[in-house]
Amino acid sequence: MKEAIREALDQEMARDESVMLLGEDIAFYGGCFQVTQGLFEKYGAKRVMDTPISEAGFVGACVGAAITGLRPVAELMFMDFATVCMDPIVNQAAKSRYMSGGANKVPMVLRLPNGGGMSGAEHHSQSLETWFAHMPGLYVACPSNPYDAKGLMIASIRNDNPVMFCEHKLLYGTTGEVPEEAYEEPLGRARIAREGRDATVVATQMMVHKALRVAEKLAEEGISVEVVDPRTISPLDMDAIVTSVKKTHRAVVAHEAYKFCGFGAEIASTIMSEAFDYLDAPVIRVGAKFAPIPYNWDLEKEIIPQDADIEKAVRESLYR
Amino acid sequence: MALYNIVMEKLSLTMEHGTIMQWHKRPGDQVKEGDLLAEVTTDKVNMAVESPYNGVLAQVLKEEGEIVPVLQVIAVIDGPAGQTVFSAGEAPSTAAPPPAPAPMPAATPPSGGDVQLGNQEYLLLMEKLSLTMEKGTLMQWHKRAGQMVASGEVVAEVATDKVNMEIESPYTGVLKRILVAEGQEAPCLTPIGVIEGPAGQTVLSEAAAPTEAQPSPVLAGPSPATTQPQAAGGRLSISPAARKLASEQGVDPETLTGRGPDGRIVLADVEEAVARQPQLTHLAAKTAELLGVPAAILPRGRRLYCRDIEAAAAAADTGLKTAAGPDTYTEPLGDLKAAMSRNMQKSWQTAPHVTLNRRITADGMIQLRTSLKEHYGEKVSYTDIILKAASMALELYPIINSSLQDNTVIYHRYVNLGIATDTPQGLLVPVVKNAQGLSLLELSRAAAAQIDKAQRNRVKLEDISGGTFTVTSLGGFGIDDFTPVINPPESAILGVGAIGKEVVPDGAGFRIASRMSLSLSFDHRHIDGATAARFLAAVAKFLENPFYFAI
Amino acid sequence: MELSREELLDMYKLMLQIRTVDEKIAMLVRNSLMKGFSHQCVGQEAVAVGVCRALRSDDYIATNHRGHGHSLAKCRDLKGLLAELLGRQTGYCHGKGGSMHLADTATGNLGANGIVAGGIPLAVGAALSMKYRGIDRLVICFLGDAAMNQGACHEAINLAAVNDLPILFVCENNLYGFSVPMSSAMKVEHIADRAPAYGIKGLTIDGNDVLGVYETVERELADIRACKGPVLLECLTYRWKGHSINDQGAYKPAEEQRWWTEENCPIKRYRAVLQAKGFSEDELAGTEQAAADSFEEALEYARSCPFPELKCALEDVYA
Repeated sequence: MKEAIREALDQEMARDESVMLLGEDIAFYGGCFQVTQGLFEKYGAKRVMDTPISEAGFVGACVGAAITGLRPVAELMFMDFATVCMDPIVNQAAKSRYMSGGANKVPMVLRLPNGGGMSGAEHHSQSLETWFAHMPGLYVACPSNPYDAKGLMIASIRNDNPVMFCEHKLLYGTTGEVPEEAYEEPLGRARIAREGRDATVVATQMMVHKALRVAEKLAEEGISVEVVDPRTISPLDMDAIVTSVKKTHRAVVAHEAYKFCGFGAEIASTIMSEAFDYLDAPVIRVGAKFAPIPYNWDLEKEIIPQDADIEKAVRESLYR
Repeated sequence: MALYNIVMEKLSLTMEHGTIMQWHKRPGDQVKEGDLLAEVTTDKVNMAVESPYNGVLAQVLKEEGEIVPVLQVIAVIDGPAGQTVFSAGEAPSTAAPPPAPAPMPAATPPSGGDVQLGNQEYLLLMEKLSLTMEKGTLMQWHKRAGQMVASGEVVAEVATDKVNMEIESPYTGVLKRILVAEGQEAPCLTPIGVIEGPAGQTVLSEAAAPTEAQPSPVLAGPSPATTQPQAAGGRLSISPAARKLASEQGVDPETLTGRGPDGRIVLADVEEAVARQPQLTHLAAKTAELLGVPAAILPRGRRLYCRDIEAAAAAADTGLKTAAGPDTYTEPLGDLKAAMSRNMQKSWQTAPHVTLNRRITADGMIQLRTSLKEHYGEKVSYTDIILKAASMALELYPIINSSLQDNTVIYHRYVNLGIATDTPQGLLVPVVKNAQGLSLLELSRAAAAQIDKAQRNRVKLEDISGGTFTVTSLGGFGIDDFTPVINPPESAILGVGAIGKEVVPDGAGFRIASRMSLSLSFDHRHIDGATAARFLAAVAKFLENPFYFAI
Repeated sequence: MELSREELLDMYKLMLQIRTVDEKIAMLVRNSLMKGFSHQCVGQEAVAVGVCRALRSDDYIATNHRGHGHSLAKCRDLKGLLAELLGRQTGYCHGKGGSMHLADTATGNLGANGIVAGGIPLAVGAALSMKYRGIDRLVICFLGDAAMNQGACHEAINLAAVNDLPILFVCENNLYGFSVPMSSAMKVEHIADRAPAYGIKGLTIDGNDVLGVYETVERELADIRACKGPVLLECLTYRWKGHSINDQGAYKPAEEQRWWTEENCPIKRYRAVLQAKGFSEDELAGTEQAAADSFEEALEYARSCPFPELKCALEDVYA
């Protein structure tokens, strides 16, 4: 997936002079996760800019640059560091267009490596995308595979709104078919990752892969699970989700963000109100347990939702 | 005072306009609820338009002969405010349980005036659809007042607190009056409408009448007891999807045991209930019994109506179906023809038909007819002569003129002769009432009148109902003899073949005579062959010796 | 204050222990005894040891992601450190904090932090608390050169300055913030050049001279304890390895790397100093052995410790 993202950045930078990258260690070093490798050599320091460790400063700078003609793509080394620059994101980027009565637009992308499962502990493992989804003016993209990553990145760069682009660290190394040419995948359109009849699992990022494994396993028992990947949680494709639930009558919503007040609650609640008569069981949410992510790897697995949690939820909704 | 519109009613599914035949009231006339305002004709029947309101006929908007699209206003009545179309509470005086067959008329032959026409009012009841049902809400009428209804047709949709169900009409006739309006509630087994139809309908659902609190046979037993049943007296725990499916399929969730937590009823519970046994309406259950359709061959998974039973019976009979394809085209029977089709099948399958054939010499008939025409200028048909002969023979053998109902033979003191007539609308059987008192000429004129009405599509319900014996002729088509089907609730039918010259033995030699076949089908349940043969012999005697008509 | 012979040797041992731990990290990770991210401070031992030697046991330190050395120098608990790195129940944080979040407030370690400059405001807050409550404990805040560019850092230092809080900011200038050289990240030549901007005293010293570090700190602490104002102490040093165990440090020029590792190794320099002070070869070798042994012993201890129970994952979220 990291190559897919790199290709997207490369193709957009080639196409549009105003696209430039900023972040820590993205130039010579090629980025902490090697996503921007090679771009510095190709485009130079003006367009691939190393910054000091000053997230509030350079993310805020992105907002100003975006308003005045550039299309910056900034990298935060970990989504956890977004806390340091919440004001530029939430009070500036998100609100600038609205506050200016539509005069400003903020065509920037903020790349945020998120997710746990590698013993990164409290400050390097978080999934905070719910916070950004909860802010009008921001878009939030959560690709689960290389094809979507490239398509959504290109769409995000071309989009005139600030996009929080979430990249799950454990997915960087995954591979898949990706067209060579540039292509867009629309923001706000879900993808059916697997068709099924008996239950719908709505999942993002890593949870898509866990859900697919569970679906494979349950298929042996004759249970047919449909996996829906929203791909962007803002804008959110509730139509696809509701259509799926009306077909299957059962819904499980799975994400790595905390279950309590996670964005899955929004999806579950909307399913309830729009497909109430079609539900055979309450909508079940699967999310991280409500504690910081611990260092110890076994404790971490306790907190972060696993395959077994999804399986349990699906079975519960089927009364099996 | 308020103004009320009278509209051209939509009397059938396909009706698009009606023609005003005759106004029976003029502007300025007082009208009472139930008064006949006008007669209207459609593509199928003539209908009486009765006033639903009291008041004065203020305005007539469409003239006699005018063709009016359905639901357009044809007249305005000015009357006291607050009247509704549905005279709820004004149940017919026959508050008794569904009626027995028509009462016997006076023994003396009627002489015009009020004659027992052989029609009857039947009550349509709010069905008791489950053990616990106490009342239902009428959700929608599928027929309007004045519309024809065939037995087995869905006439209304009713909701209880749990399920929605359709009510099939047990009777054929006209939905004369609606007693419970859409949106109103009615306790179980109270009347919701009145159907006027041919007398003597042996209604299948009569057995399910008020006396029995028989639940609709749509309920499944509890699912395998893996969970505890609902807490008695508590709120039903059921998933929304299960509730919706149960409502659509006519399953009463209260009879189910749920496998979900705390006994929650879930989709699987309802699906299994639906699949476990066929779900039949009252009428369908009785039809199945009547037609001998075993439950095993009935489709599962949905509520079954009369038409499904008949289809299953038909499919079971032949085991073969015609597949539709690019080389076939279809035409549905339509309500009336479908009702007739059902009647034919019911008749054939209910009454064991035996057909007796007898050849007679028609020279006497021919001579009579010719004489009447030449000497008296009276046009009398062969059918008229046969009608007269039949009428006389029926007086001698009343069992041929009877109806069998539940091991009881119902003898009629009148002879109402049906004459099978091929009309542009198809087969109609107009009836000449009280033929027993009529001379040949009177009978001939009456028959002509009825046949004419049928041909010109001017028949009313009373013209085509109430018969006790039917005569049917295929002679005009060159048919020698055939096996006519009895017209229920009659017990016999006389088929007439073509008259043709034949060589017949005459002493030691032969002569040419005009000969004709009579084919009498009779219901062998209560009529034995000897009696039928004697009846036929009497008919033959009268036809071969028409001077009997003078006696 | 003059240090005793035992204390001098002890400092040597401590530097060796720190180096051993951070050199062995790769081995621990390879053997899956340790997981996740880790940031080694090999080459920067003199700063940790020199500073902490001057502290009282009840003084506080706050450190950053490169905090093994600071933590060990302050708390002197090698077993606890290794147990934490190995994710055991008996670690500093019962296995829940790991390398980047080592903390032991009881022994004065406010903790390491995974967010650059995340701990600096916390340190200032601790100093505020001490001054407010009139308690004579000061706070040492370790930070790196790159942290000086975080907004939170400026705000915290300014706050400390304006309130004359008892805090010493020890900035280990190892010339790099991950892969970005300091010269690309700031316009001033020395970190200490920024001190006047806050109205506080700034000093730049040789961070690889452990005794020099000790003496400078000891000298400044008196005024700091007296709340005469915080001090920004820039210690010039170098990290031998990459930014973290996943980084090879390929951005560092070879000559630079060579000079610092071969000609400016703080341990080698101190050894020479000790020799000059008359310590015998036996004493020095013995200390080296003792340091190595203590590591092996601590590792064995840590490996024998149990992992935390799964239910601990949800404990201590709230008080």
